Amino acid sequence: MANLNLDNEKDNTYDVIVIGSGMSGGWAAKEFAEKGLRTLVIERGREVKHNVNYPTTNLNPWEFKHRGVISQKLRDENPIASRCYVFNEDAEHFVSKDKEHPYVQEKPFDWIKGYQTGGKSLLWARQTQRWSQYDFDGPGRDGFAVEWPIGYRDLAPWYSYVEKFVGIAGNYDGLDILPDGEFLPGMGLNCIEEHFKSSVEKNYSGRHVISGRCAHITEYRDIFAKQGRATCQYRNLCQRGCPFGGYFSSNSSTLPWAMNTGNLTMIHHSVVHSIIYDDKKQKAKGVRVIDSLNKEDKEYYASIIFVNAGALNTNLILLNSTSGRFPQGLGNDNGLLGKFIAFHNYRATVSAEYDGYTDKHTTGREPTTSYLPRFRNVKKQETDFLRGYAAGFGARRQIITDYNGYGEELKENLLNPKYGVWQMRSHMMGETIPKESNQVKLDLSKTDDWGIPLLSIDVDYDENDEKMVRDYHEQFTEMFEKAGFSNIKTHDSKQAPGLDIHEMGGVRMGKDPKTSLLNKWNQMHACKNVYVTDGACMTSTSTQNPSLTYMALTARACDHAIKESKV
Amino acid sequence: MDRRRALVNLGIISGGLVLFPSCEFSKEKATIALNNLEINASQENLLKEIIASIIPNGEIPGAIELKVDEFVWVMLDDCFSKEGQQDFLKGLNSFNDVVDKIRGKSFHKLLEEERSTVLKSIEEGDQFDEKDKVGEFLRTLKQLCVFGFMQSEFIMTEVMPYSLVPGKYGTCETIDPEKRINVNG
Ligand SMILES: Cc1cc2nc3c(=O)[nH]c(=O)nc-3n(C[C@H](O)[C@H](O)[C@H](O)COP(=O)(O)OP(=O)(O)OC[C@H]3O[C@@H](n4cnc5c(N)ncnc54)[C@H](O)[C@@H]3O)c2cc1C
Ligand code: SF4
Repeated sequence: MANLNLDNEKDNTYDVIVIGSGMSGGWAAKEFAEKGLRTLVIERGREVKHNVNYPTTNLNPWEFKHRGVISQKLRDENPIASRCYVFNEDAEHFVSKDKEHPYVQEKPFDWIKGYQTGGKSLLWARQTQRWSQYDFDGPGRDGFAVEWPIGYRDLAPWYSYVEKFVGIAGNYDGLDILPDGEFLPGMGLNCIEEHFKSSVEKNYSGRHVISGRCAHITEYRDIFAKQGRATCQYRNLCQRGCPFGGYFSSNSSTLPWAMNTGNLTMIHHSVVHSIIYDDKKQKAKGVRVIDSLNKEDKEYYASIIFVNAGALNTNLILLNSTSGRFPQGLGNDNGLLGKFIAFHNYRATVSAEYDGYTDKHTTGREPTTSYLPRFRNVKKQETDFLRGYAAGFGARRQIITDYNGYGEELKENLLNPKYGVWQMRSHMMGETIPKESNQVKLDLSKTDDWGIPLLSIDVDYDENDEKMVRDYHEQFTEMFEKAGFSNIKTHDSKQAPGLDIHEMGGVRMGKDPKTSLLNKWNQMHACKNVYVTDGACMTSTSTQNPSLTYMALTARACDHAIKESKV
Repeated sequence: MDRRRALVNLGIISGGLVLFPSCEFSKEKATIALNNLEINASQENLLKEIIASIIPNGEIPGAIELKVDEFVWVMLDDCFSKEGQQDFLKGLNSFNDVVDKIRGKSFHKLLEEERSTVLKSIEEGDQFDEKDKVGEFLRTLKQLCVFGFMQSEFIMTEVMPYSLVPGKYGTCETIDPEKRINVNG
């Protein structure tokens, strides 16, 4: 018996364990496997192989039984997932169903999940803006949360490193508030967006309109060819998985790359229950895993553990990793694990119309949007709320179809649509302030199918967020007016936190073990061989779409872990 | 499709709740196999007739020729709430009574032009809504019909071509006023 166990232990021992195969876990897999470490990636969901398991990717609209519409049954069973805009007939199979992973909502919180190879990297909108030093300075300057232990200079080389491999389309805009990266040709603004850009730049200092930097390959490079990825064909059907590998996902890029080294082992249907702490060696020695299909327990061992289960699941795993040394969860000496959760405020939109450029239109499809970087409180405090918001927006030429009449009249109308005015729509991406009261906990009275306690989420907006919504409405109304737009309408969806899908924090980085859980290398202060490099590590949120930053932090932390394991 | 097989499948899918009809009775059954709803042949035929009048056949095929009636049933069956389904069927079932009230004839006996006029007056007339849901039914049907027609393979390949791989995004192109506007372009 004893021998059997030992053999088991040997078979199940790797140099590194990576929990989760999504956007950040994929990067950890690539970095470690490339450097020759025997790497195990543990994924709770099913396998989705690039190009093999994209069942809808080449379907024409009429080939969908419901032309894209979700069935009433799926909608009824998934009130939360249904609120996500990609939950349509073509991609619903990549969005986790509500009942597969229940959680407790102390306050309304829409937790959107993608449990499969690649996680949510299959589904994302591919917006990739760098942080600047002004973003890292936030908490220190404005006195909330704790100071970041790193700054732009620490991350800049890693942004570059990641961008070169991912492929980022963008223009060199030369803005200190939104640093340029390693860009492929940008996707460009259309006539109305250009018009808006010149109006904004004429009327305001410090406000800029740019083409949103996005993870699409717009020009050939050997490095993409080596990954088996081709240039983007502007299908704008990315959420189905792209047969060209035109946008970045872990499935098309980092995971196959890691697999090709021969150093990667990937297991699916394997839910990480907790991280096992070795009291004698005073470090983590492995993870406990439950097979999601037959519910058997297994253990895997490694000397380095990367936790990349997605921000909230990472919190859950750590809270559930209790031991004699850490009765409140791994590394949680200060009781702050699960606290200071934050997100992005995506509630507000402003729409408008423009009556010019009547002889122009766009052709084809655009897989990115235009972007207006944060201009409020960037260099100093200017308003009665803290921080600010960025905005995405786009213009398109309206096509009007007249649905009046019956018979020949209706048919004539349907087949002869007319151009309307240009329509403009902007959405807010607001920074929220991490607060101790915004937190996640374990609800020990309820467990999921695998006996793991449910996560209880207690996260809400505050007065700062309300003020920011009002300011965004006012400022965009004014900017649209100055650009000569008409029919300007403001809207507040009041959507719950979570639907932004940019949940962050709970295991924040910081300088001081008393007030943070991770050091400047994303290492747990109190358990140095465990690293957290997904959204859980974020000390503050700023306004940029966060995944590029998670990827850069992951690559940087891997480099540190490799160097440290050699000394 | 093999009708008998379709009916058997239906029985299995709905947990065997559907009683298998006898052979003679199957004439009355609708030909389309649905997962949830049970409809009969006269409902199926009436809907076909109305749809044929909403978007008739011509140089460009009409809604029936493009099988939009099947699409309408599938959408009603899978994508509507129970309440929505009931209201729709209620409207469909009262449709001929209402037409009779307006015209003194059933829909079937009207000329093409009369049909358009009667449909218009039902669409606009809220008075038919409260009890028998006919106005609501027609407005819903028209929407589904237009949706299914515009998203049919024929329209999306021959008339307003949809391209899976459309090529580069054109940011500021000059409109050719001679060209038919392609909503899928
Ligand atoms: C519709 C949509 C649009 C988005 N748009 C953008 C955008 O434009 N820009 C941007 O930056 N971000 C965007 N995001 C967010 C982006 O997808 C996430 O930030 C990113 O995927 C997070 O990476 P991650 O590695 O932390 O988690 P994920 O990519 O979610 O991966 C986590 C993985 O861990 C697995 N896992 C979870 N728990 C366990 C467990 N206990 N055991 C084993 N495995 C586990 C999951 O199954 C999953 O595969 C968008 C997301 C969505 C859904
Ligand atoms: S827009 Fe580009 S990346 Fe997205 S599916 Fe299309 S070709 Fe692929």
